[in-house]
Amino acid sequence: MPNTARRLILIAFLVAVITISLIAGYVYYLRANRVQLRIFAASSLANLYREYEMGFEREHNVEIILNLASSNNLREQVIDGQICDVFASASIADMDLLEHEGLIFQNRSRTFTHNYIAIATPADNPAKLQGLEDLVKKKVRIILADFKTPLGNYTSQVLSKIESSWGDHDSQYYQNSAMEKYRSKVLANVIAYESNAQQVVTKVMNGLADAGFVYLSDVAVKGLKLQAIAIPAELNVKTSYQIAVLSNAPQFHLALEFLDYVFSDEGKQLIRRWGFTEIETH
Amino acid sequence: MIELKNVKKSFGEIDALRGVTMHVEKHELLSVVGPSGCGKTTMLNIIAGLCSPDDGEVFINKVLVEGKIGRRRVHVKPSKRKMGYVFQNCALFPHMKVRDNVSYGLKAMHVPKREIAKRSSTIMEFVGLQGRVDSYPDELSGGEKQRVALARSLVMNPEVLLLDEPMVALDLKTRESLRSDFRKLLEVLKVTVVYVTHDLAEACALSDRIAVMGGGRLEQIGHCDGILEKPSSRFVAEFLGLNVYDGTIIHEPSGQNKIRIGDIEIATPRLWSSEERSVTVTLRPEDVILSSESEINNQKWCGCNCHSLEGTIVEIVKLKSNAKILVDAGFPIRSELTLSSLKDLDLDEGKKVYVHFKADSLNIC
Amino acid sequence: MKHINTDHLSDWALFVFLGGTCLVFILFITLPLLSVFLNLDPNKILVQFRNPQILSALTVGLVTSFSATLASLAFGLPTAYLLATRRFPGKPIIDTILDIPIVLPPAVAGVALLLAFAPRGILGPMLRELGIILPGSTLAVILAQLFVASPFLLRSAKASFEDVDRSVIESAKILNPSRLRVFFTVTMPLAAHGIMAGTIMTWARSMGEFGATLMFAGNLPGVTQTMPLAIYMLLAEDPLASNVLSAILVVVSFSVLALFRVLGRKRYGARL
Repeated sequence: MPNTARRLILIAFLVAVITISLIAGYVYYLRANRVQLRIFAASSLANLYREYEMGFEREHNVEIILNLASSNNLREQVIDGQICDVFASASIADMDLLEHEGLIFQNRSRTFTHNYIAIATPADNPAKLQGLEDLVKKKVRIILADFKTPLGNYTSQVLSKIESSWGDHDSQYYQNSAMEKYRSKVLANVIAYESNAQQVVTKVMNGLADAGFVYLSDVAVKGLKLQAIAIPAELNVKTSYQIAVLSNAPQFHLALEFLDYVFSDEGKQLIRRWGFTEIETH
Repeated sequence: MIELKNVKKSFGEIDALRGVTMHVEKHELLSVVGPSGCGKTTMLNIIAGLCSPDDGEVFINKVLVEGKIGRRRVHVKPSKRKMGYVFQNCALFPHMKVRDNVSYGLKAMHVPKREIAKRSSTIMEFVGLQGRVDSYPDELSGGEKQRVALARSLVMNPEVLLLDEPMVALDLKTRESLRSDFRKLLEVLKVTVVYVTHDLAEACALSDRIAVMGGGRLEQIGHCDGILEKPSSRFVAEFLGLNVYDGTIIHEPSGQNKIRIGDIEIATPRLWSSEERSVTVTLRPEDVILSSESEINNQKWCGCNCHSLEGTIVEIVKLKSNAKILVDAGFPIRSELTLSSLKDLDLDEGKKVYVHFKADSLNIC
Repeated sequence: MKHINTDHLSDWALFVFLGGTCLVFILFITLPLLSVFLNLDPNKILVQFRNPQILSALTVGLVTSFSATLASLAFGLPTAYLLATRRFPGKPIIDTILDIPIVLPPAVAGVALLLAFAPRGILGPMLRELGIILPGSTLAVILAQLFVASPFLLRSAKASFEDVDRSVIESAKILNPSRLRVFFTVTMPLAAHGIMAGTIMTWARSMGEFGATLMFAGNLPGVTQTMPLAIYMLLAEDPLASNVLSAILVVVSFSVLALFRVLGRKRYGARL
């Protein structure tokens, strides 16, 4: 290839990259100059909070930056010093830890919704799982959330409850020998521990596992891609999601307004729509 | 013009220059010869300013360019020394055309464009580069590249021109043509030239004086003939390809001193002191005559103090216009003859031959 | 009976073996790359280009890669020049240290950066005084990319400077009183090819950086979520968007390699 052609191609490439980068830079600059509200939310709140994001941005001139991850991960980020305005946790424990560090404004954290645990299988339920007993069968592939995460923690609680209720001779609800040592048997079938709730949902949805322990909100909405195995209410755990404003939030007032939005009628409507359980209003 | 005073330079463990003191006259062409590693390139680099000596001083045109004034270290930048340097590999700028190579120095000095163009084209014509002006170095032949390197240096009107084995990579024909052009150039320009080469013949052909270096030291400096006739040390003699022998001076009661080399005693030329001592004796191969006669019946030779030895031819090496012959006459002795003489004498390896030389041809260092 | 020529047989066997292995390897690499494109529905792609998450991932990715590349040049070129042209005590150690990010696992790089620069890290308190909190900021992304990608430029530039013929530079020094001008008129043009290749490599590596960015800067859309991070996140929520971003990055990688091929190898010292 002649030298001039080479040169031209190189220059074209460089010009393209530089131009696009400059444009990107300009876009970035515009965004960065807008008021930014940083919301750290548990990953199971993804869909709900994306809606909140759209709703809130419609009414207010603000750029919401939504940081989704497991609550324990988010809590660590905040304690490490990352900038945050609003914290929405899937567990009370993580919120308490933040309050303990004095990071929550007037320690005023409020529960804004609840959830339950559910067992999800891919839409076609390849392992043909019908009930809780089927999970202890050999070669069933199960995915859980890491026990350090809220979902993982709740899952662990549910498993223990099932074992002590249906698998313990001394219990009045004892089922059969299959349910004995339920917890260890199920854990023996676990092929992966995911770092947050969304990961569990995705993997089950894509058929990478036969079943996974997720939130009720996940199966309630993605109904088409997931099937659910019911967990009886007495064996289930009612989880609480808490929300709070950080004491050194850069956008303090906007953060408070966001909380108002969450607790507004619109906010509550969205909670219902996305499969979460409403809080009791007194 | 150029003065080196006890210049020393080491690179780690290696002593490249061990105290070199040398003087180069204005407008002379001095060739510096020596085997590889003798320090000639290092010396050239120090004169140019590309390298600083560990000790010693360098003066150019009586100005101190390298050395100490009291506590202060003096080092004049290469670009300020009004020098040209032609490297062995030409070191042309590969990314520039010939014309830009030549005008590089002028542009760097912010010479006005018109003048640059004029001076460049003059020098390029001078050096024989017309028609190659817009070529790139990789399109040029070896000889052309050297011309560009020369032009690039000369266009700056340097006072000193340094050349480091510039012709070593060229074929014989190119070398000869370049050499003759170079001499013509020097006749016109007024430059002091230091020319480094390992080719003794080239040095003798080009220069006024030659300097022989070895092991980081200046062994001998002087005119070619003088050095060949009277090498000052064994090293120089060996480098020059002379016959070198260890001998002892024997004092005879009759007053005539003799030199013993091996088993042979030779009457000494000239008057020497009567001490008995070991000496190094040298003899030019050109002064060794070979013949089939045990005596020479030649007018010029009669009456001289000459010696004849019988020997066997060990080796004949034929070159372009002469032949080098190694004879074993009790000790190895080298002779040089023209090819026609060789044919006339009908010499062959293994044959018996007589070796003759005058006592005057012997040199004691 | 016909005599079977065993020479031809063994030649054939060799050919089959080599060809077979080669084919398997090629398929192994090509298949996943093709699937990225085959999975795309042409009708749905255009809409994706208005997807805010894709756009912000593109924006963040381009801005940070570009900045990281510029920073690599700013710090890398002088360093490369120093390493290529000077000897000083401890040079082999420094050479090795500056090469480490290439072999270091990106996650380790992320942790290392956190331990050094996060508010709880060694320089954390000092940065906090200055009002700088790196995790969660775009600057952190740039730093992470700079850390993992700059060695490419450094190595390339260093090799290029080393390859420049010393005698050419010395000639220039004799003719040109300004060391700086010697650098720009002779050294740089001769080293340009290698430096350019290193720069492009650095940019490409920055665009693809994932592990260190995730750990050190976090995953905030529009702020620190670069394309690889977005691909990861979107896989769960919006697989099509994830697919589109992947396709974009494959095209970028391919272009970069094609560019290298076009640029060709360095010839006789300088010209492109």
